[in-house]
Amino acid sequence: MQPLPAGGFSLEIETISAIIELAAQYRGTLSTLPNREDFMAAPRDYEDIPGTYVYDAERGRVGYHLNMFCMSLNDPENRKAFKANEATYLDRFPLTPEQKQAVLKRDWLGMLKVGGNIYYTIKIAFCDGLTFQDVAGMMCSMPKEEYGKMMLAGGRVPTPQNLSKANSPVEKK
Amino acid sequence: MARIVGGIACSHVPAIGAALDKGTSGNPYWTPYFAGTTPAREWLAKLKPDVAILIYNDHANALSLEMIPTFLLGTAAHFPVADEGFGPRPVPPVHGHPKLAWHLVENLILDEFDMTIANEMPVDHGLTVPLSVTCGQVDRWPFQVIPLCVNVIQYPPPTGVRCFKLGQAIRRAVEDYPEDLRVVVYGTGGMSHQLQGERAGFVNQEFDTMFLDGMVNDPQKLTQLSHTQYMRESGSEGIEMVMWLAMRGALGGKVREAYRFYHVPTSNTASGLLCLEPT
Repeated sequence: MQPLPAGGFSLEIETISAIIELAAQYRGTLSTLPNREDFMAAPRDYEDIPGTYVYDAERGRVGYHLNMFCMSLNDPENRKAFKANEATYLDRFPLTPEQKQAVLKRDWLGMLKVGGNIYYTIKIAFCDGLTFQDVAGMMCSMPKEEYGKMMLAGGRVPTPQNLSKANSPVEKK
Repeated sequence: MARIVGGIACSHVPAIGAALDKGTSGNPYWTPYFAGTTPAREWLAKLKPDVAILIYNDHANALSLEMIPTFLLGTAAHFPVADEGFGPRPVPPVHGHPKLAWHLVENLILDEFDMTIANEMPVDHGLTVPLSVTCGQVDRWPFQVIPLCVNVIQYPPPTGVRCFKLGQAIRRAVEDYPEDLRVVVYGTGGMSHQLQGERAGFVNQEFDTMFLDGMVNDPQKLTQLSHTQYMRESGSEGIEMVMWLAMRGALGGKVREAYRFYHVPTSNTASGLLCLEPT
């Protein structure tokens, strides 16, 4: 392997993205969460819980680099670099285009769908000066005040619809 | 001989620590919570423990996804307080008990619980918040602390029954330690809460009451709960309550309930606090 040029890594961002894209196609796995059948034969019974993204083996496999990008924000220098130019900073990590877009758009729910783990993605929110409750509200599309009121009144109480997709008109299996 | 003199189950919501650190614990939102936890502080002070074995989980601070130990035991003499992205909590450093910790490592591994050993690690709110709740704002923690970290971040966490058996093995190891030490065991996390997805904010008071009762009278029943039952009925992050079962396993068969407190909400979470004494 050739040493890096003194000025640092000189590949254009487009080139890097193209390489990542190619790698993703080659591996056939990185761009989106594949069907369960591709990886594990049996469907998981927890997939039946509405509005819940269990950070399991499958999401761990797909989301590793996304979450490790989030982990890097524990370092104040990295937070500064991320804030200075988010897209460039994200190029340090082999993310899929979908993962990158979800971060840039602060699509908190979208991040979970492309392998984000809430304990990691929340670090982006802290970097933005948001609280856990702000993000929780955004993930369930509730205005902050309304979400706060719901919590004060005892939280989101169990209902047949939120306990199982089988009972939910919108989230049929 | 060392012996276990008490068990504490306690939620470890970061906002509780923030309320103490920022001096907002006296505002109307927090007053009921801190009033409700005071009797536990008094109970623990009377118990005068020398060492605590504190079962908790790290939240992407000491550990990341690089390596994910299911059970990790801290053998250090000092554990610095982690910077979780906004500076370390202004609480005293945590002093370990290396001799007892190494004794636990040795005994647990030979008892078939394969601990990962941490000679150095920072500790985050998962450990310091339960200390703050049960010891208050102090210049120095009143006892040494052995951190026992459980993976509940990457599915699957260890099962409830496995955690319960780990607790039983901890008890055997403690009772095999020659020095006369008074040991308390903490099981932290919970109770029902969900921090992610469209179902964020999920709280199930009926489940939590069942769990609190079971912790006292019928922990065997609780060990039969499946991971999916925890996630469905107590929220995706409610699965942390397997760590309570590790504490309960360490207390032995029958216990006396010294104190119980339950409060909703602390931020996104239903908080529970349970003080148990072995009988």
